[in-house]
Amino acid sequence: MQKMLAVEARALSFRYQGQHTLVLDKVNFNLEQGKIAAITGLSGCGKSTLGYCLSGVIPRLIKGDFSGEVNLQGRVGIVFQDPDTQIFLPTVEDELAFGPENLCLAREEIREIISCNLELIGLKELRTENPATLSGGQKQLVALSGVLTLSPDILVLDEPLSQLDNSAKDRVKSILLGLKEEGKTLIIMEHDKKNLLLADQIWCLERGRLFQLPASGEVNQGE
Amino acid sequence: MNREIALELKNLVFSYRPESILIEQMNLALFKGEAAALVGPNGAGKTTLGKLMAGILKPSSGQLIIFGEEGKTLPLHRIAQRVGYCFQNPEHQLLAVSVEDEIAFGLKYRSAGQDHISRVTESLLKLFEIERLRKAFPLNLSWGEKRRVVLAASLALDPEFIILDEPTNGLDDEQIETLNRVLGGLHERGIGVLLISHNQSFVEINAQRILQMEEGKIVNDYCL
Amino acid sequence: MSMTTAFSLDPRTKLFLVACLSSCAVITTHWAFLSGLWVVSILLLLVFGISPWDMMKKIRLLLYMVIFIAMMQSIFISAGQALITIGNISLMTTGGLLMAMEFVFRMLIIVCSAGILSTSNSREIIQGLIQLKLPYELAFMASLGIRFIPVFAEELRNTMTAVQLRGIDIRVLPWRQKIEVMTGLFQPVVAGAIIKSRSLAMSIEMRGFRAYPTRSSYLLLKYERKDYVVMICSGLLTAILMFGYFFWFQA
Ligand SMILES: Nc1ncnc2c1ncn2[C@@H]1O[C@H](COP(=O)(O)OP(=O)(O)OP(=O)(O)O)[C@@H](O)[C@H]1O
Ligand SMILES: Nc1ncnc2c1ncn2[C@@H]1O[C@H](COP(=O)(O)OP(=O)(O)OP(=O)(O)O)[C@@H](O)[C@H]1O
Ligand SMILES: [Mg+2]
Ligand SMILES: [Mg+2]
Repeated sequence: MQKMLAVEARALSFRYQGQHTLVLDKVNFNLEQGKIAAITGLSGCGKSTLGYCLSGVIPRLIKGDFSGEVNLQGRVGIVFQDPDTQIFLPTVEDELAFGPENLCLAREEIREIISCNLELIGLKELRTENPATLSGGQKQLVALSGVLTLSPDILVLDEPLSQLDNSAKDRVKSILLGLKEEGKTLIIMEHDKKNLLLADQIWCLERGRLFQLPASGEVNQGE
Repeated sequence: MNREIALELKNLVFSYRPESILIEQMNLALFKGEAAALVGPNGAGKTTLGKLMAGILKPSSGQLIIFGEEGKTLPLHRIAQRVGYCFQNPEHQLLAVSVEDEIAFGLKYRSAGQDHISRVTESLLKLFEIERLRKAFPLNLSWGEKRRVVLAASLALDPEFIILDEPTNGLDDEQIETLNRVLGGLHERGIGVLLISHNQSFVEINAQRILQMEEGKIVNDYCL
Repeated sequence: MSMTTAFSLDPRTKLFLVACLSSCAVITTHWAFLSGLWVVSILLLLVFGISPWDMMKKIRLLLYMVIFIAMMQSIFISAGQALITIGNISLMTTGGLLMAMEFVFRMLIIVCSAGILSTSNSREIIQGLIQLKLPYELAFMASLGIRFIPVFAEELRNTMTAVQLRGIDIRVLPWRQKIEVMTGLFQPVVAGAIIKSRSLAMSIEMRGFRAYPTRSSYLLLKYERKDYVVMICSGLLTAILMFGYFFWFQA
């Protein structure tokens, strides 16, 4: 039985404004709902750029030569690579509330979501702290929770574990697996081999081309 | 073995806010040529300690001694001539309009010869595989590229001791391998390093001494 | 006790207070009156638990600029009696000096007002504006616009640290190099601030900002009795002051 495709990208090409080379060159990518895909590749190969395309940041918010087509089934959320530029409210609590507020949820519900997320991710003590004065890893966790509270159907995570300590890594990994259980679709950019075990399928980006590697976790279904 | 001290903290106290002290009465000595690693959970105070040692943050009380000189009275640029530092977030350190300038910047205004500058710059561009980006605007690079530019720029100054905050963050396996080689080279030349990292295998390869930090204290200090 | 009470006033009350203060400062033109108003705003700062001295230190640069502008003003405006003359050109006049003083006092009062507002965090102020029926987009955008200033300041600070971390002391460089470094830093600092603000806007957009025409809010502000007391008092006081001002100074 073929499951529904949550993410479908066809012939994506992109070149940053003022650059000569294509970062992405006719990239195709499919992902079924409820799966985790990891995207690897050398630093500078265009993983973040691919994440922008898949989440609609390109072409909406970043200029350049874009062509191709992306179909998403559901709401998308993206956590960027640099935690510093995703944090702007004066308390961790406000930061987590920002997404649900935009979705017009009721106050009580937002409170519930915040408490639940802080508990899960282990930031309960930092609830009223100013996120700008947190440590690198703590900021990364805040940036992640700020998107998780939106409960998107499709989640793009750009190296979400890179500054975390081991226990936080484990916590986040189990959260991600939990999301998968709930039927969410995840795309994770990752360098670290150990974290690739999380994924159902692994893709490698090289010189603008994307190809799928033999899966490490589950047996590769379909195709 | 009689080893000379490079950086030393004596009864050092530090707090960001008066009501909560982060680092309390810390005593610590890092030796010349030593490769040490500072590890610990998020929010333990590793970055803070690194910045204190590099003179970027000033201790609330206590002493920091840098190659025998009182650190409190030394201006940052003087400290930086001997102690290198790389931020956890590479963006905080970028200041030039091209990758090339970024690497050459320090040498250029410290009256190094033109030959020397271009030789150092070229070799570092090559080492970190950023030759193709030499004219690129540093702030537009990818995260890992920024990291490499910053590492190159700090190494260009040829410090006697260098503090690297999460240097493997954003690098792929091959580049971590390169960094391992670079650190091996520094060790051979007797240049001390302090690595702040969550990457266990990286730490094990490059450090002889492990400083484990928790809640602003060194709770464990041992040699591998 | 008064300090913590003032601190916890509703941001809308603070906005009202600041509006009273600054409208007094803008409408009136007499230096004596303005100086009195300035003393009042310093007292208010103290009530709100802010040390005026620390604050002045923080915004030193702005103050220098204000004083510089005031000096230029006093030189170019000629009115009243001449104080300093070169040949038969009067360089500084009593009128010019008074104008300059008025300008300085006004700026000081506005700075103090900003200090009062800074006792509420940005989210609270935004919420205050929203509950005053300002559209939420405008309130957030205004706050993001204002945020550009601290982003820029931080970018500048980081860059200055970065320069020193390269072992360079700009102060001791020869003039030619000093100018070279400074002009060279200009582009990365400005571009850096713009790139960061843009990334921030990107993150905000991707978190569903403006997805719907309305927006709920987790924070809810409620007036308390002290808010009403403060607002009524400051409103009355302002009215009395204005009346007195026009009666005494203008008549
Ligand atoms: N705004 C920009 N303008 C011009 N070039 C850019 C811009 N952003 C990225 N690039 C270039 O595009 C390429 C791909 O960048 P991208 O950030 O997607 O890489 P990445 O795979 O995420 O790398 P990393 O693992 O280091 O994060 C890089 O060579 C980078 O220099
Ligand atoms: N500018 C600041 N103002 C106030 N508190 C701060 C500031 N920077 C850091 N802190 C606090 O100091 C503590 C230590 O932070 P630090 O950045 O040193 O941690 P770290 O060990 O480097 O963590 P990580 O592994 O996440 O980078 C944290 O609890 C953080 O909230
Ligand atoms: Mg990237
Ligand atoms: Mg840190």
